[in-house]
Amino acid sequence: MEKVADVSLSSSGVQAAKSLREIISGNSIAVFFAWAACAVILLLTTLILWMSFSRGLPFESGFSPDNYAEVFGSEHFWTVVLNTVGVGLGTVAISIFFGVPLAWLLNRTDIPMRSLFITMLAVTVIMPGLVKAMGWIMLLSPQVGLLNRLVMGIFRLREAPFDINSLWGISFIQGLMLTPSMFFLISGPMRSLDSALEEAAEVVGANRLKIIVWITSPMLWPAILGGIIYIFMTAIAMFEVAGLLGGLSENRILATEIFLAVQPFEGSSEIKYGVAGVYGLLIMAPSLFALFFYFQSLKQAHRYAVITGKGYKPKDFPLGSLRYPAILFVLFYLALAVFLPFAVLLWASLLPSLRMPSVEALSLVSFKWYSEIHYLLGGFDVMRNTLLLVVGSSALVLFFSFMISWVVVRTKLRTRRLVDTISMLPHAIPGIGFAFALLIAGIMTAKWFPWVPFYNTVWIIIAGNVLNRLSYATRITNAALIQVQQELEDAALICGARKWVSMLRVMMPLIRPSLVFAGLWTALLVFREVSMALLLIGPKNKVLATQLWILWRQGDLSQASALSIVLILITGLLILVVQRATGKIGEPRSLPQLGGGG
Amino acid sequence: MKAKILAVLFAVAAFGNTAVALAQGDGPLARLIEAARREDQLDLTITSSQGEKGGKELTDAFKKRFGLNFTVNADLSGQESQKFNQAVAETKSGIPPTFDVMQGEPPVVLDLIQAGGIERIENWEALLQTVSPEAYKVKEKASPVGVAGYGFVWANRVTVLMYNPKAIPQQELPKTWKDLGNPKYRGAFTIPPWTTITLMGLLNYDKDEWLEVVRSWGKLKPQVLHYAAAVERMMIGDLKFLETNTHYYFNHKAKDPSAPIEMSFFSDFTPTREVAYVVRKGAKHPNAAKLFALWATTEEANRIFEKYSVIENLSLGTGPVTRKTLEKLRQANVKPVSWFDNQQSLEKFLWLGTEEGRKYSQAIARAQREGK
Repeated sequence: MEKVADVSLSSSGVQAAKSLREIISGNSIAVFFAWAACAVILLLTTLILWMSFSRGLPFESGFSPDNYAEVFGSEHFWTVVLNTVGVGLGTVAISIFFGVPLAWLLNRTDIPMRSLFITMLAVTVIMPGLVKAMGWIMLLSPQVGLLNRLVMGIFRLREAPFDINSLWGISFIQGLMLTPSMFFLISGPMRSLDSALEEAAEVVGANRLKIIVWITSPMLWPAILGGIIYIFMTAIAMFEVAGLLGGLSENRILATEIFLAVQPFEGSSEIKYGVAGVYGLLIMAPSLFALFFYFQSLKQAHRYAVITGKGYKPKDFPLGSLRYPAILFVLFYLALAVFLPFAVLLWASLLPSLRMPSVEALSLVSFKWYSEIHYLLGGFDVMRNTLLLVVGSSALVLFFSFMISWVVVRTKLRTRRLVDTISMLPHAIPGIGFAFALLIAGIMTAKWFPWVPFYNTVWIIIAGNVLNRLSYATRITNAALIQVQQELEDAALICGARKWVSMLRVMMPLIRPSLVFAGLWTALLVFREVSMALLLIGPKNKVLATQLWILWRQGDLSQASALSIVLILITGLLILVVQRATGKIGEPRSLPQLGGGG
Repeated sequence: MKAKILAVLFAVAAFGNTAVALAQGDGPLARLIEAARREDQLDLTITSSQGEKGGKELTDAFKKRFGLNFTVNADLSGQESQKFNQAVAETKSGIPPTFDVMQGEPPVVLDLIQAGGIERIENWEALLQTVSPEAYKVKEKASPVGVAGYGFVWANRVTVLMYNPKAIPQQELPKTWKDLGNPKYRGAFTIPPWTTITLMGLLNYDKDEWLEVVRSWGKLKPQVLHYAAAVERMMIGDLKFLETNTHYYFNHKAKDPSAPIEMSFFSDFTPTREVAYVVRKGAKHPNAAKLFALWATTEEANRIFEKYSVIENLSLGTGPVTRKTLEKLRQANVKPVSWFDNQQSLEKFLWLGTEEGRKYSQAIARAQREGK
């Protein structure tokens, strides 16, 4: 009897072990982590929805439609909506105009110095948006703008031809700022394009323009569409530029209305988080609408699979005589988006306080603020927290993005589209709304689970950043995985590899360039993110981004500029090191060479 | 040189002795210091304008004064409204406060008192007399009516008219707040995205008249900008003038005496707001917090605040920045007004918390931003 029982036990044990093995060897690992991330996103989104029906704090007051009445009853409601859509579309137009050609030139052609150009693009991200806006005010202000004065002098105009304090001004600067986002979003897929298709077109007599329009562009369509949606959603939630260029007065948009809701105009500590929640949901609505079109393009995902097991080999496009116009185009963008803001930063950092360029101002130039950098950096704790924030957030974002994209792209689960939609939600919600939801979640954690080190720690900022950046990283990993044909994974499985082995050993190396881009870009965005950090910092979890903000808010733009310059130089150096260490991101040849042929 | 070194050594020894003497007695202050020492830590907010260097000098001086040697975690990120709102949320949810001691202006302080988030220092007058005899002399200003025993004033924010002399000569500036509505100033100035200062017009004007005055500004569609951004735009000549705190004037002039920034006063009234330290109820380190709140009112603290934050303490009236401001106010023949000047002023402030007052605040906000 005992023996029978033993056998039965061991049989059930074997069964259990087998099913456990099946669970952990199948797609279940990816499904588990993807849904874990989605559950947290849904929880926080529900909290924001709850806030939108609450006049006070979510846990103290009942439901009320008053916030909705306040927002929809405003006589400016439609002006705000139309302005927001205008700024969103304008920003997208500018970022496509620059971003798509730049991605092609720097990833698929033999243009020289591409590593340097890519580093410069990456570095722009950590330049504070408000400094960029100040730079453009110095150029295009109707009162003092240098460019306006120049044009007025040449054409003897009585009035300034450009006014940066306008919706187009906001769109223009935001478009320049978000071009690197567009660039990085489509760079991974751009590098992974199979040049055999282009070569085939060339063989049948298609010229370069036709190849770009009819072969390259359609293959990149999911990535470009993902980029458009991402840029649009970012643009309508951005505050820093609009806040400086009339967004708080005549050029009001949703992001500035959210700012006013959390920075009470009436001068009390009663912050209207509920109203901010309603505006946040309004930002979400068009984003979800845009997502619908994105999913339509995903339905055709198999059409865009360009990395196959049959002789995949990316190849540079020879520019020939177009090389110089191409370099000029890259330099034109860099002049507008990198050199100009960098020059303004440098100029401001050398002066006691900001002034227009003049002989008198030149006499005040000194390196005083650079000698005080150690104080401006804020000490060891700030550096340690920042390092943990940047490295931790990037690693977690990459991990969860890969898991989510695996579920979305490589499984046939009925819920996969839902997972993708949920992963895009954080981007549709302005960071400040997310941060407040996290703050409430943190307070609840401290109340119910006081032993969990979350509230007022660097982990709450990491959580906010991970959730907020998932949407961006999943666009990259989705697009990258779409381009890897199923046959490669099947080949690994046929050779006896387990599912998770094929994920780690086959798929991950194949999309490594996209992952490195996603990690690098996430690190830069997390490094400069300030709005969430400001709401979530306490006495022991300060980070560098908030140090910069503090300097600016106390009226020390010059010190803030000096600190920015130092950070830009350090970051630029780090990016170059990462490029070398990870097999030269700037070189498409670094993509893994696949065996087999056909 | 030798004499200087001896003098410094003597001063250090004398200071050390003071700290020892304070801690060794048996009075309430000695007990407070001893209790603070046992707590071994202090978490606090400091105004962002103090900067890291100034924050460290401030907390080091505090520790030295009382012979304490513990960790001080200071948050200098500003965001007073948000921090106090967070404090209200913590109080309502019953969790320990993030900060032991916080600083802020009357509206946020009173909101937190109302929520039950601030602890009154019971024997504050006796303690203040020992810790800060200079502030005790003006105790009705150091801990004014309405927040007496709860809030301890360490500074005042004085609102002035800041202008770029290269963009507009002083004689062309508006003389009163009423003049701001003159159409000739269209595009010349900005307003801030809050009404904290605007509402102080009630201290000088009838409320309906004041609403009309504010509407006249809004009709000119001025840019709405934060002080820091507005001052920078003014200094490059993009704007001509704006209302802001004296801090920006002193800060820029200290860095660059030739900076194109000057200040003037409105002749009808000059608003000043007290900035006070408060001790959080349920603080993890309540005694260290009480000690700091009281010490922040001293001349010693004021010297360090003035050195870095370049901000006045009008009740003490002793620091160089304060003296300069008082001198300029005297020359302009202007009297600063505050919600805490007297009972009548305070009542006007408290009225803003009523339903009628809240509606009025909203009307002012609309008038300021939209001219309606």
